[in-house]
Amino acid sequence: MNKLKENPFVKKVGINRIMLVLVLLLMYLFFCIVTKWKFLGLSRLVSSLNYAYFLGFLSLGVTFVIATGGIDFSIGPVMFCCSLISGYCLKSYGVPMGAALALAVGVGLLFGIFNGFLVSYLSVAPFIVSMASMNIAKGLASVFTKTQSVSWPQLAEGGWYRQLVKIGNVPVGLFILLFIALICGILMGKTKTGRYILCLGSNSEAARLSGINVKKYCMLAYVICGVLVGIASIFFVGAYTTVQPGYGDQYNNEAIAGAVMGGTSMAGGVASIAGTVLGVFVISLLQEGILAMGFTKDYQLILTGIIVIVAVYIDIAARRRKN
Amino acid sequence: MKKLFAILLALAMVLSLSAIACADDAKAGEGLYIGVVYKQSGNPYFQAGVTGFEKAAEELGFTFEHDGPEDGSNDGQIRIIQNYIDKGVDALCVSANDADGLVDILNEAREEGIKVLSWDAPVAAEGRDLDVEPASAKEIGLQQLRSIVESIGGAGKIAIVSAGATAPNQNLWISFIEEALENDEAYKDIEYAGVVYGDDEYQKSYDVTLALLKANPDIKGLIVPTTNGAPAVAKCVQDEGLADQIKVTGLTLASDMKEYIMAGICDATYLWNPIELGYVCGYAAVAMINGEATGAVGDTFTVPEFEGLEVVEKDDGGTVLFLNKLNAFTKDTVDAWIDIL
Amino acid sequence: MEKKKGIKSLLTWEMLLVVLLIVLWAVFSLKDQSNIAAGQYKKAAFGLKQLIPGLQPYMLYGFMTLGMMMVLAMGDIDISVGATGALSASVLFVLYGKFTAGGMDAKLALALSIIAGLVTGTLCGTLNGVLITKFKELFAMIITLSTMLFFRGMCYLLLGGNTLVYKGDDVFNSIKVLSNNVKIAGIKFPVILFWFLGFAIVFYIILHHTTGGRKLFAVGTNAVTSRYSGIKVDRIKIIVFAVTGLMSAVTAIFYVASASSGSIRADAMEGYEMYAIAAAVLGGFSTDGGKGNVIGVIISMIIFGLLKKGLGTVFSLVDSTVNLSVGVVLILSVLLPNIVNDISKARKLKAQHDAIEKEHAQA
Repeated sequence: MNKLKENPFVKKVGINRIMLVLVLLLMYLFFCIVTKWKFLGLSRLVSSLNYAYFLGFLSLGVTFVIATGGIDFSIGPVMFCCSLISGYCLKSYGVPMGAALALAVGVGLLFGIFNGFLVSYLSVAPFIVSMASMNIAKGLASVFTKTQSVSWPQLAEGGWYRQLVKIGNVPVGLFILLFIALICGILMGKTKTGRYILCLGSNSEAARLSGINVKKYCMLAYVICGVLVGIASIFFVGAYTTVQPGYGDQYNNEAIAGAVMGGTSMAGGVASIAGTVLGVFVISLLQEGILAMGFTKDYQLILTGIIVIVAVYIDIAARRRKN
Repeated sequence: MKKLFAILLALAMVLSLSAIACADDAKAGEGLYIGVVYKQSGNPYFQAGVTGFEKAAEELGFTFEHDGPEDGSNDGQIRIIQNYIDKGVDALCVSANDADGLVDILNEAREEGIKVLSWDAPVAAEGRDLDVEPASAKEIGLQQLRSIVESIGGAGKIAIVSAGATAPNQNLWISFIEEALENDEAYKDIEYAGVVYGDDEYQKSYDVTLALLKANPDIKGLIVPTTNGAPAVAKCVQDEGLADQIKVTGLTLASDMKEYIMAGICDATYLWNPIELGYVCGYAAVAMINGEATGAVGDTFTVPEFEGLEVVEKDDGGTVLFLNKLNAFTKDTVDAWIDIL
Repeated sequence: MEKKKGIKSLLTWEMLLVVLLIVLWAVFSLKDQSNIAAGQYKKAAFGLKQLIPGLQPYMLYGFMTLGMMMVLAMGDIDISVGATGALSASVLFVLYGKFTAGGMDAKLALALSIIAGLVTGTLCGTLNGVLITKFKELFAMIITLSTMLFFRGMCYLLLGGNTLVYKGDDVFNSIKVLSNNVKIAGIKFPVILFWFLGFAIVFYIILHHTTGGRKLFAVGTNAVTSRYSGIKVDRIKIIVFAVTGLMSAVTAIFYVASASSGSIRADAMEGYEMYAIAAAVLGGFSTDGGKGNVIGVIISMIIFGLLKKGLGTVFSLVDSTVNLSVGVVLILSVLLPNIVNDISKARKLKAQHDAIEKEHAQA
């Protein structure tokens, strides 16, 4: 095992990510066998991708927040709030499609600024902030839409935004997701911003003493998260078109699980964008596979819980060994 | 000066005349205050129902408020009803998530002299004064069954994707469908795979349908007796590439289903007009508050554009008012309905 | 100087809450009166006669809040309380069905399944406590997040995603006595109010008048120094989490009693953790640990009940938007002490700075 770890290739890619790819392949094989190869079809994979898009953006966003040592439980409801408010403007106020999409991202941005400001400049516990903004997002969406669900237009009715998800059978969304993940990866790993975010996540006091503007970079992480949540909302409606107010909580846990599984440490300071993307694929495949096996979504909930526990435990074990 | 006097006099006459006119025109529902409670906020079907109440309110002059719980729960409805009682409504029009769950609180309301009507989904007989329904449950259930059996050519496996497991309406319709499947010779070639519950949530309905199709790959037809579930079920069939193998029918809005009706997944779907349902319920509530009717068998209601509205006995021991109007949405008719429902 | 201290002691958080309560009540009552004057409503919607029985649905999570405040006092958090409650209720329901199906006397079955529900909650809490003391590197929030998912998943497994109903089962529905009202002076008082007050008094005595309670606050102020001064920190933590689990189960039993047709869904009590945390934080238990008073929590429970009731009736907000207020109140109740702290800190710093400058000038 140790020898394997010394291998330059393994070292470069990271053992965690190699394991995740293996898990992904094994899971796929397992589902194929269990469902008697019915799982093999392309349509299955494309429909599991539908789930991966919006979850991917959510997970990327929350990765930045977790990297600071914070947490955000409002991402799911905020995503719904974005697509509800912009969708309502689109349908009821005749806002053009492009502007509505920008509005969706804008609403996410505003929530990011709100959360970030409270957490970093007013030093409210991240958990409390996200609980509060979860309720504010739900309430706001309800007030704005008069508690009505919103259906975004179909492709035939001028809903070109759906082509962001797929054109025919080409998974455009996948390319966009990977592209934005690449940008996130560069931002996190290669820029000052990312390094500072990780730095303040691993030890905020040390970061402050070494002259980093801790508050600014902490806030920035939440703002990035907000923008990504806004983008996620576009891909949610792109895949499912209909949004109901008052929901969205379930996606928080899946997005966080995706990030944690990918090797982002809940204690902050360690984050892996590539890992997050792989983690999201595992979760989406899991959800599709469980349904394909004829189980209900409830089992997925339990599995997500177990995944979080195991991922967190591995993280702890690694830390203990280091010490 | 004279001129001014004349003008004033004329003005006074006009005013008094209009006052008289007003008095003559006094609307039956003037000053009445009604609370409308539905199963779940955010559901377009109930929004249509509320439009009907709005129309009745405009014509009769009453005021009303409407609300439903976010999570479609019984305790949420209790909370809302309690608030309406506190606000002193004259009548409550309730669509129940759980037929028995609201009996206690509604009887409390009746003790305070509030008239209790249920619309869309009935409250148990001991907790209401009158139930208003579009058509008899048997007719609604069997219409869907007849339709799907015709679509799949008289033989094959069918299943039902319902709302919540305690939803009184759906359970009643399903019981009639199941009874017919078991006893009616006409359906002896139909295999029945049972009911799954999507809880009236889009995503959940989609998921349970997917699971159902995986567990029963030979399914030919699906009945979805709930408007929130139907588009999700049809979408699932479409996503799975089974549009030419599986037929879907059910109770749906026209606008939700046009895509799938045109795609041939649905031959016909059905719905009464929830606007009319709310409209008639508003009229009935006002008549009952004014003491023109009590909700007893044989009571009649006069509502514009409706004829022969008479209260009959219902099999749960209470009384019911049927509208007896069921609309079919097919390739030919769906466009006409799309802006209404 | 003496006098100033006297005024300052009056300016406690609890006093602020009482003032807030009175202000809210006054605002709602005035709006209520103006509604009647405007002919909108025919009778008072916010009199004591409506208000007190109307508090019932908002007192449900009070029991969990009592647990939550102890967790907060230790500087931890527990977000699995809603799921713990749901699991307790699910166990209660499923076991009752199994027992009666097995031919057991229905009353005995009910008693046993209630006990089983309470035990389930306590076990869930103990599990949280053990995990948190075992894995000290991780925040309590992350551990309780995972257990929350796990407990909620167990509910789905137990109930199979469907609603379990005991309609018309008189024995089972006898549990409804817990959601009854008693009439005192023409006003209906919900029984749950007395239960909550009873529990709150017990917790008040434990927290503020026993060494155990003092130790708890000591752990919250500084876990390391408490450990060195001989307090068994881990044991206290496990006990507190276990009690929190038990209190979630108590909430579950009242929940079962109030969902009037005796039915349960796996998504029951979703979001209750949020209400419990909000009520505890508004009650004066900061998320940093080490402070708080049970009296504050009692008042904050009533404030939240009053607020939701008032917004729902006299301001006619629809149910789904009332929660907006919970979010706003939560933020404000955390922000206010933070800002006051910051200001007083800045003032102290400035005083120090001035003093040093003065010394320099003198030198």
